Amino acid sequence: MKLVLFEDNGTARPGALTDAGVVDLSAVVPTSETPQATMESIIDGFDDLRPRLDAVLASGPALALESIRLLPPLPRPSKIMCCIANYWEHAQREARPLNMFLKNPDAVIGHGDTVYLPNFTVPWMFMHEAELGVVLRGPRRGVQAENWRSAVFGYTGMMDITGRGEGRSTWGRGTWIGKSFDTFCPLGPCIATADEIPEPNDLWVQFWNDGQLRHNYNTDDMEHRVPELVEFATRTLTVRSGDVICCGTNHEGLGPVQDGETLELLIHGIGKLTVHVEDPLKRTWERGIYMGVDSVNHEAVRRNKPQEAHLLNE
Amino acid sequence: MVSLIDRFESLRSDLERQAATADATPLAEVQLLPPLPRPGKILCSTASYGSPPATERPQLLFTIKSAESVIGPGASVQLPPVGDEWQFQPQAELGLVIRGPARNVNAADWQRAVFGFTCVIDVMGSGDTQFGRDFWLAKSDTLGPLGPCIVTADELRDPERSRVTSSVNGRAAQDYVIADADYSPGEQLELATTIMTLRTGDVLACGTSRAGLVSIADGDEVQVDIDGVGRLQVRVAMPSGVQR
Repeated sequence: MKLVLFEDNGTARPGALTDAGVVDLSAVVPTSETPQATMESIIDGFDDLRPRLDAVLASGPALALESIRLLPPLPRPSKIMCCIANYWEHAQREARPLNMFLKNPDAVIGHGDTVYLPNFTVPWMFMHEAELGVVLRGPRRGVQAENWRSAVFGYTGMMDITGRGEGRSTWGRGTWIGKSFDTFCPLGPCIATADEIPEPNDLWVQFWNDGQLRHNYNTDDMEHRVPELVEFATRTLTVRSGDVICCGTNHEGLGPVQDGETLELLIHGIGKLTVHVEDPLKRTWERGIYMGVDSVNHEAVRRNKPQEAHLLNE
Repeated sequence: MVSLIDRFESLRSDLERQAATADATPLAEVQLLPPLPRPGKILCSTASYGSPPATERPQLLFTIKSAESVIGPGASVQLPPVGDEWQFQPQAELGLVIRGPARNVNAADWQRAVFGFTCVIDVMGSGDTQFGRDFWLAKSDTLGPLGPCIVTADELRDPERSRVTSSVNGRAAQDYVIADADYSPGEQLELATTIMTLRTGDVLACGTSRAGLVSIADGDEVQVDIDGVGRLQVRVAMPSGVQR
């Protein structure tokens, strides 16, 4: 099932995304105090709710996507835990130690919303990163890798919009605060429940900026895989229903985001998330994949570091 | 508490009447909880205190600490289950309790966005800074004691004069004055709200002095005092089965 939140006459409602559109689930899912709490109640009660949800899905009318406004499926998670790097990127090297940071949970926006670049010029550039998001079921702490599925409810897409300091280094080295500007966490379009995704480490991730393909990778390239991520996060933190682990990105397709652009993230089997970009300062950068000296894009490596080109594993 | 902050002006006269007339329960008979058990956001600033004059200030930055880190007075800091190459040090910090939404606040009128003040103990790991690993461990469950109360802003008109002291097992540790900050609380709030909107009940922990930091271990008692705010005491416990 592909769960969404959508707005209907100013009210946030739970729904399911189908080929025909969105089926309203609010008859069987009472709305809670906040849209986030509504989705958390679905996560917590899903096994009991499922027969009723399936019945509504089989009989309920579908609302055309164009007639409604999708909201982020998790508008305000208590924690967004993001992996640093975490893709091999075709390089032959030792695995890097796994690490994470927390992204501003108030920065979440949804399908059709707008990323606003900040009126702040210390970061020299703002970039996109396309990521798989693992939606958790909690509370859980100390989950062993082999039991990872007990803490996973489903999957979503996430754009880790990032302010850069030098090159592609995140502004605010060590703190990762350059990833926490308002609106820098597009999330969605839906939560694909875990039964729809038999193997999260075999998903095809694509990302376009104004139709130009940037990221294009499979999650089988993940350096530390989803079971290990669940164990790592829950070793020191209690995770809650509706929290998200974002799995990091393959940096080979990094590029700038700037005023007027449209960003699309498609994770095959989950769905497509589209957002727009506005910049009050109308800054401009060269369009295309980032090719700076620290780029891991293959063409950039061959151009900037020919002595390392033989390490690229095509 | 968030709703109390948002409605404080209209509630105030009723609250004062109640405080003046109702029976008080002795502190010894109650268990204080953290005044903000799950803040929406806890920002910890990298500001420092007592830096030598004429040194260039490093860029001010922030990390986000997890709401899972919050515990209240008398509760136990549980050090995370990591190897003994890690040390953990309690950092005594002035916490600004925000009345939001606060965005693009000017340093000059920063107090407009501040509902009150509290004590924060930012328990920070040291051992490996690669990729901010130290900051990640500092987000762990129980590593952000907060309290004992929120002192409303009208009771602390000039927080820059406040002295912050800490002790471990009764032995003095940190001792600094807010006025000695490399970035004032107002400058910190200005940059924080340039990056992100702060909401009611969010907390900005204003950094700490590098002098006097000590590592803590199982059984230690940590105490933080901030003039005009109060005293926050917590214990330190090692999770069972972990040897350090």
